[in-house]
Amino acid sequence: MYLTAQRVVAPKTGEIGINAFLYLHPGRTWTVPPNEIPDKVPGRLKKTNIAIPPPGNRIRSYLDIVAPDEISGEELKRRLLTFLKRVERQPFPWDAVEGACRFRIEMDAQLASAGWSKEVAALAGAAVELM
Amino acid sequence: MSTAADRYLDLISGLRFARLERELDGATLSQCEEREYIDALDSFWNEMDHDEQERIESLLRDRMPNAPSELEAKDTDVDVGGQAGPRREAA
Repeated sequence: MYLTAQRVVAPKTGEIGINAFLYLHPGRTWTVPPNEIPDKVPGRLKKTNIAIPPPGNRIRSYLDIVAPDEISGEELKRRLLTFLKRVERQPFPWDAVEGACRFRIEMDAQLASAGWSKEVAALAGAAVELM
Repeated sequence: MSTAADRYLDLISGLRFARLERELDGATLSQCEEREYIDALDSFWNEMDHDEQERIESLLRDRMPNAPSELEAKDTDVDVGGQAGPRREAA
């Protein structure tokens, strides 16, 4: 699966919200996440949770998760925390493979300085609601 | 760096991840759990002299991950069942 959540701001109204998307890859399994997912092959869009309708909204932050479709929420959380402990002192974007998962996170300086972990929690919360 | 300073830095990171782990479960640390961290942090902080406290504050500022002022990306229209990604780099 490719599970992603992104905080967006509407250019005309300034409204801010988190949109989340779940793409699936039926019939595909992996032990190492394929390189083509998500940028070249996002998968087939299965579900969305839209707070601010696209298109054209500016992205302020995003969390990308590439993981086997059958992964449990608990396993995903464990992998995410392990990933975050590895990258927390590096500059954004954070991008690394953790087991069968790949995580990628980026956010603007204002969100990062307000507390990157709060933003990650907000994005992850919106994303896992789609699982 | 003193042991107190090392422990202080470890605890700051520990508190951040404890909060995050709980938030990922849709909950928060209890006041009692927060209090335990804060009391331990205060204790290690008070063991340090002024110069070391200043060094720790500077180190924590430096540990903030660098981030761009703005991301160069916009969202895109997507349809359930489609295969388009949800964002693109701004032109």
